[in-house]
Amino acid sequence: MANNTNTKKLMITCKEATMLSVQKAEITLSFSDRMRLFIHLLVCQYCRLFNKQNKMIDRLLSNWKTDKKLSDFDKNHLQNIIEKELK
Amino acid sequence: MQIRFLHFNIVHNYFTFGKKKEIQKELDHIHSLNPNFWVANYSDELFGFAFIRVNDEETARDLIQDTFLSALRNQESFKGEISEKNWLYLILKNKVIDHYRKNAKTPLKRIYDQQSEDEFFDESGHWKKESLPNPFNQAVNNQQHSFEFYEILEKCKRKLSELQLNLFSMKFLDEIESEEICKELDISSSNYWVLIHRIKLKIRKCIEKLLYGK
Repeated sequence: MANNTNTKKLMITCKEATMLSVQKAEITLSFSDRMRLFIHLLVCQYCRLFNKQNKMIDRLLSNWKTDKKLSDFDKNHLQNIIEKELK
Repeated sequence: MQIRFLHFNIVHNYFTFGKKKEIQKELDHIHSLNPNFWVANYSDELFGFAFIRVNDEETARDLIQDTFLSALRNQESFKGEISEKNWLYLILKNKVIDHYRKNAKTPLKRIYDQQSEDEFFDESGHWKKESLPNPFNQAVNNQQHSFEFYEILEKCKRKLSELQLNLFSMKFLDEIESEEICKELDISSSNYWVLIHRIKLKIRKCIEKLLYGK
């Protein structure tokens, strides 16, 4: 499932490299895929940047907080529903 | 055995003296349900949890209401093994997953944008000029900026299709295993990766754009 680079070439495209860097967060890449990604990142500054930003996004996502709150109106509504149900 | 346990208790109490009261308070609450205080104590937290997953206030509100109602109707299934709060979270999580499932079954929402042309890469697999990544111009790393970052992320999530949004929430927020996600959303594993790849590219680009737009 991991291997999207079907061709056994050493140099991969940016499309394949970004795919590998996304997959890397979830699964263990095969040795050859890791080498391909490593070599690509050595020579491609854009994918290197993508890789770095992607990692950062993952980290921030894992502790996503929101300061969204329910309005008092909604809370009253919910409270009424609960009280009605309890009767 | 008993002596050892007693000893442990004394040492334990000694070190946690300050916290003891809190612990006792927690223990008192563990086995009971107080539906009258649910709204005051948990509704904001539960709402935030639902909102970042469904990205829509109205849907999140409905989910909270459903959660409270089914909690009230199933009070006898509460065994007191977990806290009231965690129990409500469990119910809400199930409601959220039901919501993903329902969305996955709506045929109109199942059109992936796979056939459309690639907005990020050209035919040879290189970055298109307009899609080349640029460095983010702000440190979104530190705590101060993180709320701002999450606001941006919320806007970016609106650009995802329904399927992408559900996939995004399941993977990055609920951290569900990929096989499970594929089953729930009825997609193949190669589709899964194509979608995740595209979501990441889209989100990254959108963050870059909005950070620059400031």
